[in-house]
Amino acid sequence: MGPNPKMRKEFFDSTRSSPFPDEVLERVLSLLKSHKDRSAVSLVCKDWYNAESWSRAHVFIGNCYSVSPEIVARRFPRVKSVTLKGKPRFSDFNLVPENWGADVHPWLVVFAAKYPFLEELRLKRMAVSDESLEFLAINFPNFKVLSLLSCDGFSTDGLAAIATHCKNLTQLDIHENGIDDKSGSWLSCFPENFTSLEVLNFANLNTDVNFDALERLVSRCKSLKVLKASKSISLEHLQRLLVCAPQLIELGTGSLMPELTACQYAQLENAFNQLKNLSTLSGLWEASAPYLPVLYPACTNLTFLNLSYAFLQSHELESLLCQCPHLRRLWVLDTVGDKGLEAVGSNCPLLEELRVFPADPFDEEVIHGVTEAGFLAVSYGCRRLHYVLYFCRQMTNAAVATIVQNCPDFTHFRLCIMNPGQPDYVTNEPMDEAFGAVVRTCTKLQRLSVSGLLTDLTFEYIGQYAKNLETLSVAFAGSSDRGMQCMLEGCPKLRKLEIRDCPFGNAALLSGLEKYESMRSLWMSACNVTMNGCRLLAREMPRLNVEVMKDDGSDDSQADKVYVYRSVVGPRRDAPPCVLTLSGL
Amino acid sequence: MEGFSKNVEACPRLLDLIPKERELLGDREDERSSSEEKKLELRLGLPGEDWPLKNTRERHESQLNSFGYFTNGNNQTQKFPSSAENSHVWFNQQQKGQVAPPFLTFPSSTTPPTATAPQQSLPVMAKESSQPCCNKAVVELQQCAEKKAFSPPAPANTAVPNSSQKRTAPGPVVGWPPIRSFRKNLASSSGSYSKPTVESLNKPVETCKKGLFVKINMEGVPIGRKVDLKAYDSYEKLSSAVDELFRGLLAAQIDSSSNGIMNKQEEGKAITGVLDGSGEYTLVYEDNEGDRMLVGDVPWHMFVSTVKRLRVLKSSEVSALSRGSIKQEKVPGNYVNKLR
Repeated sequence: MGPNPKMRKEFFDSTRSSPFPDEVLERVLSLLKSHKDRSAVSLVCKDWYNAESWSRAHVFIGNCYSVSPEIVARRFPRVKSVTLKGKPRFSDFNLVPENWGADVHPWLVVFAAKYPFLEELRLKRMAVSDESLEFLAINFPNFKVLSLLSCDGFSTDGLAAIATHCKNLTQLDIHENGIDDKSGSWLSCFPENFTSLEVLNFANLNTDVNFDALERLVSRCKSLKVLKASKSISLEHLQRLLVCAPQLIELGTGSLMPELTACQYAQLENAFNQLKNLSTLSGLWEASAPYLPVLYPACTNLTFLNLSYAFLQSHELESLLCQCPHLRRLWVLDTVGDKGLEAVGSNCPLLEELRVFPADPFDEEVIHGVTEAGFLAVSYGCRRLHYVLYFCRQMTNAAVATIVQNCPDFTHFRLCIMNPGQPDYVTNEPMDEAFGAVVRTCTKLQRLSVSGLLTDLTFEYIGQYAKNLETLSVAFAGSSDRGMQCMLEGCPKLRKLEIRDCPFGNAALLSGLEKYESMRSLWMSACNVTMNGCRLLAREMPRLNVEVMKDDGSDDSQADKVYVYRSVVGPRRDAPPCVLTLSGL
Repeated sequence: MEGFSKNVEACPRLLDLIPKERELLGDREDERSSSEEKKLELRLGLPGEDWPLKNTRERHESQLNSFGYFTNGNNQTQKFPSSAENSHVWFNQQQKGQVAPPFLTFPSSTTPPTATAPQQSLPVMAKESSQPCCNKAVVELQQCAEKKAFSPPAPANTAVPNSSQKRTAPGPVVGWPPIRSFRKNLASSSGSYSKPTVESLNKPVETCKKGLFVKINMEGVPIGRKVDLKAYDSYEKLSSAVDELFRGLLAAQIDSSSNGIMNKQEEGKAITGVLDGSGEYTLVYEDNEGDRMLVGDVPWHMFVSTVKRLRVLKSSEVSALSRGSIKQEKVPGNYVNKLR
């Protein structure tokens, strides 16, 4: 051998290709937080794959049926935190039957064996039972963070189990779920010596909680940073809570129904005055004008104001916005009208996100709400806007073109013209040019929801220009299969495509054969796809799960609802009778 | 893993690898859209394999044609009018003086309009809310005869109630607009947000757990009352409640003001006609905008969602009020007729 025998010996003895010891590699990789980065890193070589697997503490599973808990546990032995998503997004809008699946329990059983020290669980659109919550509470002694969003199948009894048994709980975030709200007694289940809570969100529950228990809880949890109370908490209660917790960073008030004496009002104002660190304010149920000023002292540092449950008028909104110079995110009801949105444009130069929800989405007599004028006004004043969700009853191509010219940095553009298939109300033309302008101008666009009268031209534009688009929602749009083909052929980063009530058939479905494995999922309902088309898809692409749900009374050959997703574990075995699993195997 | 001999060859390559790796990690920091990252994206296939788009598609298309997978009539070559044109037509007709169509998912709130107008008839099927497994038929909006050909829903399931036909627009659409349950209930009743429970729990659907108490004062009576609007479902019931609440108090007031001459036999006159201006008193309310409104103009559920307090005023004073604020213009006349 030559000079430096020692070094060469080490090399020759080494069975590794990497020059770093494993520990160093793991340490370096543990600094990577994004799961996309980690996935990429794991493909470099076997050593990196292993090092990444050992250092991954948080696992994100975007579709619970794409993988099994056993596979996850085998690959990632040291996971402390799991995010799990289940049902297709359209289940939020009643398009998916209740017993569809996405049961979290099998996951918990595996986790109890493989990750006994699991600390965090964040679930979205999963079916969660009280038994599962109790199982969770009992089997994971280090459990700290529970977040449930859009889940269903559980009741407040399950929450009681969590409160009773999770001695190290720091976060309990119960957000917009289909929960059976039996009673508020769960809150009283936190033991008297329990002090670790940092986040408590029970804003969407209705039943009364024992206020004294809540007050004691808030007083003894000195690290509490987020408190989002439900409607049952009155102003008087709120005042007492704020006195206990001036350190709050996020507050969801209870009901703002007027019922205070002058003295109580002054006390409440004082309490809000103590909230120097508040960055998020929400709740404000039944907010009424006389009581809004009580909030003003706490608004100076607000970055996120969620008024989506408060029926405010334009002048009330304006007065409130004047108090919030640093506002970056704003959610409102369309009761504020275009005038209210003008106030947004005038008062919120730093605004990055705006969501306007309809107060009366189903009332045909409604003439108020917001129009293109409001959106335009915001775009002139808020040039940093990059996330918008906008429900309106009329829109024009010209307005949208101007809006994106003013705000070219949109990453999320979700426009919902509530009347399906409605054209530009001024020109009576389709809204193709509007979305064409969006995708041409907003090169960073990641998420798009289209609406209004749209021909295939819209999808040609999308396919041609939306190179960063990852999520696309389409409803009541398109003229022919070509529309869908353009989307599938054109958008290289497309991950989630959800389509309803469009004239796309088998040819369109099958044009995406090569695409679906690079996507998380495809949903098509009330389109033109047949069972045969789905069977062909399933046969050609065995690594895709093709699931069909049929509507009562529909033609045997029609595939009314189709859900296609990639999976490494093959067809699921827990599908209910109404879900037909078409497998190529 | 690698054997002895391989390592010898691997030496120069190892050193080459290092700067590349750093490069990759560096790229990650800087730009998200680098092509390197693209190559490393997790795929289910072998890395580096480029699915040959063109070839497979041709193969598939020939397969499709040979198996005749367009038997449902939706042949690519068949030209059917674009939905755009038809919706165009539909919308134009709609604009001839009719209001925007509703999109109800819960049949309970307002009556869905029919869609059985001639020539524009749509195969509309009302969909039940919170459905069990396997829903009823889907509503179709694009109306054209050709559309029926390629996607014929069973007409037998048409279950649209023949109610007040205000428009020829399509019927209720499930899941549209795309709003979560929590927001749907906001307008219909300001006091309840709970989502209907899972059917398997066999619990009755409780849409309200809390009453909606509003103050009610009567002119000339110093003591006000509180009334739970959730306990009533119509203006008539509210009206009789007003009578019950204040009859005694009013009588006592009249007695005391007539210098203590107590007529024990008179329990007090009934308070009637508060809704139509025919009685001595009229019922008004203050809404969430602070405006004072006559009770009875809007549908009950709308009233409940906007009322903040009630007042019983002398009818003579009420006539001085204008017959309604801007709000009333929003409500079409037939609602007023329905309630009288």
